[in-house]
Amino acid sequence: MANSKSTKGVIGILTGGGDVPGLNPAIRAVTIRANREGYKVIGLRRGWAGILEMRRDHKADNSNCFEILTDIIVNKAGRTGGTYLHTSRTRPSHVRNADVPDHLKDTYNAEVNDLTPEVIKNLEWLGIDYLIPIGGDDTLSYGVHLHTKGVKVVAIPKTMDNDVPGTDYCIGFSTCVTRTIQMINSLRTSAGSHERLLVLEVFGRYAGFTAMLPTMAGAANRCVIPEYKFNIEQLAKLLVEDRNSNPSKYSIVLISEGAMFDG
Amino acid sequence: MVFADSEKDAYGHAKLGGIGDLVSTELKDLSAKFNKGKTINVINQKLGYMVRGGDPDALDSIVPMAYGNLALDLILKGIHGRIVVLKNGRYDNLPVEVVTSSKKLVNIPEYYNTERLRPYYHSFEMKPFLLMASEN
Repeated sequence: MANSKSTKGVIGILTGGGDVPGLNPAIRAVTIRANREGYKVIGLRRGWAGILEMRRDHKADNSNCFEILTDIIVNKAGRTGGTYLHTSRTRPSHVRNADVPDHLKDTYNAEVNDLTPEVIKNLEWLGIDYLIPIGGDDTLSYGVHLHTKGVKVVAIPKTMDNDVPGTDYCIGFSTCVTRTIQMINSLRTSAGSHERLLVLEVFGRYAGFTAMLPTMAGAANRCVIPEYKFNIEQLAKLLVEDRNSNPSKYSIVLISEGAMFDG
Repeated sequence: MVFADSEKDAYGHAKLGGIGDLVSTELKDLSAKFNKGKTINVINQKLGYMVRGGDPDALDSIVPMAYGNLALDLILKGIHGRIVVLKNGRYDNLPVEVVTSSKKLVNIPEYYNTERLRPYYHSFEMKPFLLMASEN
């Protein structure tokens, strides 16, 4: 599909897993730099789903699977949260029978199917030389799998949980912390007015970074995180003490969604 | 862990959610014990998807720009099989296999005060920019 005479190469880019602010700036940066350097950029839509579900047919409607990215598109999209390319939690190596695309159902009819051969053929059909998956450890784990199959992968880490190994920073973490602090500041006035305890559950899956840093910044008195099973009586005692020693008579605890009771 | 749904996704994860509700109920029930017999009410709020909303802030405008360009730096040199990273305040890259080689979690002894159920606030000198959220 790519015209190798007019481009130096073709780059495919996708965003998988949870959406975060920062994905569109990354898509924009890749597209503009690549275009400047003479590369074509194909945006693969909906995480790994687009490159999995597309049809290798020039007459097919693949508009939900991929599109050519231009400066005009990404300059506008790059300002906003979310992801212009959309996302999914599709894992091409583990596709349930019901989720196998219709045109592949004859070939792949097990209960769980590995459609990696189709993904690789689709990448070749599109003429993609390098693949840039942007995602967390799940999305990128499939990128690692493709890398072992010979696909040229350069990954970009993204997750509001900030728990992709190897990097200090994952796209989306800062805005998540910013929003968390902002929302807590909106909620604390009600807690104070009613002299109550304020309990806030936050995303973070198995890691406590999304609770720890806002707490350190003063957004909460205490936090409980997945990495340490907590005693609820100990927490109650501390929060009541915090509330009663606060002239405004309230206290706040941040609870990671993956936190666990001790016992 | 407390799950909102038992169904697992393709990566083996079930959707977490609900620990805040359980903690709120328990805190209200226990509050009188530590408050001279008087119950304290609880406001229970799940922040959920709200923290994913809105435009990117400064770091999430700058770092993605740099990561995208860094990915192109590698591609222009014909380098692949890598993940772009921030390490010790510098943009760098590592073998992509690092993603599946370990788990990144809060270092409890170094950063979390288990008696006070909150982070430690000491020994900041030469700590990385994002403290416990940096890769150790």
